[in-house]
Amino acid sequence: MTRIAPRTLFIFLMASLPLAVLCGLILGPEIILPFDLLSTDNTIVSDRIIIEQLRLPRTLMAGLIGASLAVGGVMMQGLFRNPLADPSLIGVSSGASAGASFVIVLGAGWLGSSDLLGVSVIAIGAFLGAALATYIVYRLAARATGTSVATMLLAGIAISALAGALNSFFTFIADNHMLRQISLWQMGNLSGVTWERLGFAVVVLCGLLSIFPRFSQPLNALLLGESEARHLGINVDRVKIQVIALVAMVVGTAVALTGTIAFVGLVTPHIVRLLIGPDHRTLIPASMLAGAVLLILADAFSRYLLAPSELPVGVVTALLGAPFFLSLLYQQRTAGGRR
Amino acid sequence: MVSPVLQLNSVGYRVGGKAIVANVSYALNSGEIGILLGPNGAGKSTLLKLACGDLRPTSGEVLYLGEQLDHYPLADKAKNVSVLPQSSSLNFPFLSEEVVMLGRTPHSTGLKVDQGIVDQALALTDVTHLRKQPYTQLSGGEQQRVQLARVFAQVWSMEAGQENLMILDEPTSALDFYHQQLIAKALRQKADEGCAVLLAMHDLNVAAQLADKVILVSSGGMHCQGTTDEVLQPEILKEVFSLDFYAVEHPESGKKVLVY
Repeated sequence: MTRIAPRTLFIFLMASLPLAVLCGLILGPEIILPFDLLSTDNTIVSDRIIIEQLRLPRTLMAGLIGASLAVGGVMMQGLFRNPLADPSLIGVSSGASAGASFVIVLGAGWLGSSDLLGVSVIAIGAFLGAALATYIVYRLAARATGTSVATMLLAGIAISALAGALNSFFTFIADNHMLRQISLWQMGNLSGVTWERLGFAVVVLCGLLSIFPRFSQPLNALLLGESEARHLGINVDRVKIQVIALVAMVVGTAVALTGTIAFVGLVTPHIVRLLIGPDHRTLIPASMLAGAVLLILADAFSRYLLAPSELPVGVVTALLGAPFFLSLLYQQRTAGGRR
Repeated sequence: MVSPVLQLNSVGYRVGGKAIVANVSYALNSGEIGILLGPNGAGKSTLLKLACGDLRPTSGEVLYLGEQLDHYPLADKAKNVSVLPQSSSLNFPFLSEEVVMLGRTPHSTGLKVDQGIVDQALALTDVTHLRKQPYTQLSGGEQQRVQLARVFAQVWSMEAGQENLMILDEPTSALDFYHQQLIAKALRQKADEGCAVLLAMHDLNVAAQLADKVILVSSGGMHCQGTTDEVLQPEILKEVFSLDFYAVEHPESGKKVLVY
């Protein structure tokens, strides 16, 4: 399939983003159209509260999380030189799940469900779990001579399995209420986003996300191979440490705030790469925008499809993303080529 | 006295007690093409990796312009030394011209200059017509020519007070006869501009045509080195390759050609 100019995609995404946000504000168990808010009816007050206190922070959070997950996927695929890599490879997601389950099952008793800075204790447990898992994976793969990507991949699988076992154990000893909490958390959940929590996310994630574009050139060179990148003047080992630490922080934070949302990190970069090519200078910003749009829309539909109850957003990202992804793959295949 | 661009002083490399390369010394001056010849497993690739800094010698030293190679900061070295590995694992669909542009990563000469260099490099290895095609869809020989264009683009111009060096591991292994000659000509042209070139290859006749200095290696050690006439003798080659060679005269040029 032929590429489109990166600028075309940027224009399209920039135009889609406000539309997606609008969609996020309108759709829900109850459809609230913008011009309804202009009249001064009594029901309008409650609608306004719904928009201001529930839908707006939630939609913005969805955008932020979508951008974070997508860019995490871009970085992992570039670093591992594998288009099927995603942040879960370095243990982020499974570590976060184990951390969250640990807090839900064992911590709830003496910690309660208190909040710190608008962030629940469960989220803190998840972040610590993600950070710990990534750190162990990294330590296992680090050698005096550098970090082996292949070893890291294997270590990631092993640590993910270990975290998965812990997670199963906590699930096993959990009672019914905890069980539901765990499974909801694992499916990904954007409900209950408050302005404080959004503020926290904006400060942490926007700061971190702004660092990613400076890795464009190193990652481009790294796609050629590690020794090739070194001969192009890239300090490969330093880039690896920095990228992994950044991704762990960003994705760890995202997962801690909203649970594991599948598919966005894997598929968004892939779709964008099919459209504009693998150059990270355009791939990174375009994937952030695309991830934001995708997750905002997915979240809006998750509230609307089964109203008044809510579909887990991870289910919707898969339902939206998978067919689109498959159709792109199919087009690529029928377009021919040696691969 | 001017120090050679690349100098290996009794370099050795051991892995787990086994010597892959032992006691190899040679020097390469600017404008010279040095060719490593030898059977499979003789240590050619290892020698090239030692020469470009991918591996660190366990004994001896590798000098670039008279200084320890690993004392040079990566970013500075990349401006003057470009390396083509034996095989490449790029499996992302960069366009050919984007791959060549990656060769300009170490330089900050600006997009306009880089674009001009990329155009010329693409023409030099005859891949201009493939510039808008994804690298992953090219044939093996085409991929090799694109990678060669990248390596050429990296050391396209010489900065004042610097010496360029290209290190190529079997740059013509996947090429047809026409393109072998094309690359040989391009390398000669590069050397005439003052670039030092070190490469490994298998084709004795291309080597004879191209080399200023031949280094014959066998089982990790230096067998002999010298000019093509000194080294490419049927008796010497037989010792290394265990095959009978005959030197015959080319019907037109009258030059010596090796057959077996």
